[in-house]
Amino acid sequence: MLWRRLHDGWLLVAADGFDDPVHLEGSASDVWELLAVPHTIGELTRSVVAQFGITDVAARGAVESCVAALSRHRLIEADPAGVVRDAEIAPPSSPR
Amino acid sequence: MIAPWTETVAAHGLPTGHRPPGDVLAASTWSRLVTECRRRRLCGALADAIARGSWPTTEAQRTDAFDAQRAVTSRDLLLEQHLLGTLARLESVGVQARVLKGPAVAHLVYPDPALRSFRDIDLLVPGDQMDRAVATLMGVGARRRYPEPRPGFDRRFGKGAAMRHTNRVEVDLHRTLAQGVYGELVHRALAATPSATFTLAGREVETLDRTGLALHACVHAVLGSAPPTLEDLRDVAVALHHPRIELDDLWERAEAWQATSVMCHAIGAAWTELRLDDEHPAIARANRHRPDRRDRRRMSPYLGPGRDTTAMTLGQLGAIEGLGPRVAYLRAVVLPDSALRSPTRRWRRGVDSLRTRLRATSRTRRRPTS
Repeated sequence: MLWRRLHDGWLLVAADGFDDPVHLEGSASDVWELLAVPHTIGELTRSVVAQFGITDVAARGAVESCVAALSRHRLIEADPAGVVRDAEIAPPSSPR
Repeated sequence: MIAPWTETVAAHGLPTGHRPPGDVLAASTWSRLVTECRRRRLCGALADAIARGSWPTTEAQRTDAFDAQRAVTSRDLLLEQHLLGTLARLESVGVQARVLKGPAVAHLVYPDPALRSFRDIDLLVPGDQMDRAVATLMGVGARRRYPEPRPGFDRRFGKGAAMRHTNRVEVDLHRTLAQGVYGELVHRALAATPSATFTLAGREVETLDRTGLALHACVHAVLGSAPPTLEDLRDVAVALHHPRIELDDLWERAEAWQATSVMCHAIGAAWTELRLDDEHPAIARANRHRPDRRDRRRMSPYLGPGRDTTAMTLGQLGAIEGLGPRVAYLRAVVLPDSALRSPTRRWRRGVDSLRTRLRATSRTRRRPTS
């Protein structure tokens, strides 16, 4: 995958795709950064709850829709055990 | 005329005397500045200055700058996508291409690739692989922007071939890094120029080493356009401030490329336009350099607003080794293939100009004996 870290989030695009780049900001950007290492949906949800102080249900909904969007653009992949990680290359561990 | 404050954006992140505005810019000035930054691939620098709090804006201007950066960066990613596809195609037919300029400089010279956007893809291809590279890209629908004057010209004498794909992406295949005499001189040294790699989508992509990229930035700034553009001078300045580019290595490489005077000219222009720190050892060393008569003669066709393409052609003729190749070069330039004549106005102009020049030279030479 090809990416740039911008000041208001991330721009990502699959290396061999025909889609336009996807812009991630806010909690979607945080979920993406967490995916530098593989996480389950449950782990991602707990991180979002801790970071944004929202309910489990709201966080899970946000995480699932974010993961679905990233999968649709082939930017992440999930193994049979439900562990999600970025598709080819991890973003840098710390922003600029 | 350059929009006000553009130089300040171009100098962002460097030790400069250009100071950001003390207050929010008026709407009309801001609008001109953003347009100029888009045109000069400076949106990343402007967005960075704003994000770091060193450039005052309204909320709307901030959004405007980030939107502009997102748009140009999206284009960069699509170009990198295209680059990977192109490299795979060329590799499959045995062409060993090295990436030049935009993506390579963004990833290896700038502190963050988001600070350097680009408009096309530039690849360095060994001369003996040029025909194969051109044919491969034409095989996937690309078209040459300018025809080859005669078969074999790209491979033997040309700076390169500009290929445009149906999606309007331009891929420039370079045999060398400049037109004219410097193209010939640099070409001889390129094979010995070390490579480096950067990572794109998990793949190691080959380019020149950082010293080579820095020197190419200098060569391109001075020999690619007159006067040098701000964005090209920014590349020179960023490269010269890179902690892993050693000045001794750079000077040594410039000697090998016979381009020390060109490099010093680029450094001088960058330091002047961007008002950079006079204490930096690069400018002190560049200021000590005095181009000799030969270098001044070589550089003169490239400098000034009316670049003298005829003199560049004659300069290259003088640098080509061997009588046979010189005749072949001259023949290709003066008498391009008839099938290519009608659509090549640009070549036509050059040919007419060269013929006029040659006739004048011939009259001058005849005069003393008559």
